[in-house]
Amino acid sequence: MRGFVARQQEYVARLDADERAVLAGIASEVGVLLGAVPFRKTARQADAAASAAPTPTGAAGGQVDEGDDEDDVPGDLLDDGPPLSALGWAWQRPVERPTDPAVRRLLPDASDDPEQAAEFRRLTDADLRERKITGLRTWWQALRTPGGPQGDAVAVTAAEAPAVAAAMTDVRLVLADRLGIRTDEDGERIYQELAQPAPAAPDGSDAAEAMAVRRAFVGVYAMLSELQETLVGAMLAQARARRTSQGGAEGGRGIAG
Amino acid sequence: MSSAPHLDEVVASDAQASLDAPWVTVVWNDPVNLMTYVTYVFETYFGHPRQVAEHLMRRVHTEGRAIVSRGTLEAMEVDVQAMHGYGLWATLQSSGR
Repeated sequence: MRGFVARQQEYVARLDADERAVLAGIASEVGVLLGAVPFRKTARQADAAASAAPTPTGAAGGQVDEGDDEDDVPGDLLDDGPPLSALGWAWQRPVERPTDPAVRRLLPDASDDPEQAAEFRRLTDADLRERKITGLRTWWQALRTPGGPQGDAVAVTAAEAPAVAAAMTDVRLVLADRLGIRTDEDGERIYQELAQPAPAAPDGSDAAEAMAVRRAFVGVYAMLSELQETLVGAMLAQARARRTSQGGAEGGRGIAG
Repeated sequence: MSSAPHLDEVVASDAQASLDAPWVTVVWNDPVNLMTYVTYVFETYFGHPRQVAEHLMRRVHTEGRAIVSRGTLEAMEVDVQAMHGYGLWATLQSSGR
């Protein structure tokens, strides 16, 4: 892996086939946690739809997944038909607080007042899920369409970059929940775990198997941390350069009371 | 004659301040978000200068939370939703607390 660097109007990282496959799979899984159909499946449906004219166009711009195969739609937001948000009445229903702690971290309570938190959730849940799924899918798509002379260049356009950076946070938040990262100290210890020599070949015991799986996920978490750090570092450098060339920063919004 | 403000005036001006910005957006620390990313969000979403964004980021990191914006409930709902979109953990609070 090589982290992101700025190239003209895009940011480019280099990831081998295994790295791309693992990252794409996890991006899709986080999408599923948020209510999407697995991305690979949606892509196949889109291909099928493209070859069968006329192409139906969803009212929501095709951003919300709506598979016809309900069996394969875990936690789907929709009963059937077009997305509720497209019909404009999803907000009228109360929205349950997610039970999965990882999803609850992606869509947290907006207030310690339960009534206010529930109201906020009712108003924003569908939009936030849709936005996050769109970002995850953009990242997934970039991973699936590498280019460059070695065929390992993963490119994200300047326009896509903010959504991809947010998607990387969402994936890291879910991984962190599964890895039990609760404190800043946990977060730092995770990198030390990788520095330890790999345990001897799994002896087939459940414990050895669990350790190998954990180590693999820690590796993915660390890889995503570096990808996000390099992507956001490059984005921030460009945003600052743009600001300077526009005649310096005018103060942002006041925060002092 | 007194140069000190009358108590009623102090109360009135406090009340005025809280009328102008009755709500705040609070961003909370988490062990996952990168300092670079939090700074990026504060600089690009709120338009804060680099120094202010970095100051707020450090405050979140060291104190566990920081107030990042103030205003009406509606404005703070927009900010909190945006923060959740970025993957930052944010809440609304009445500024009186």
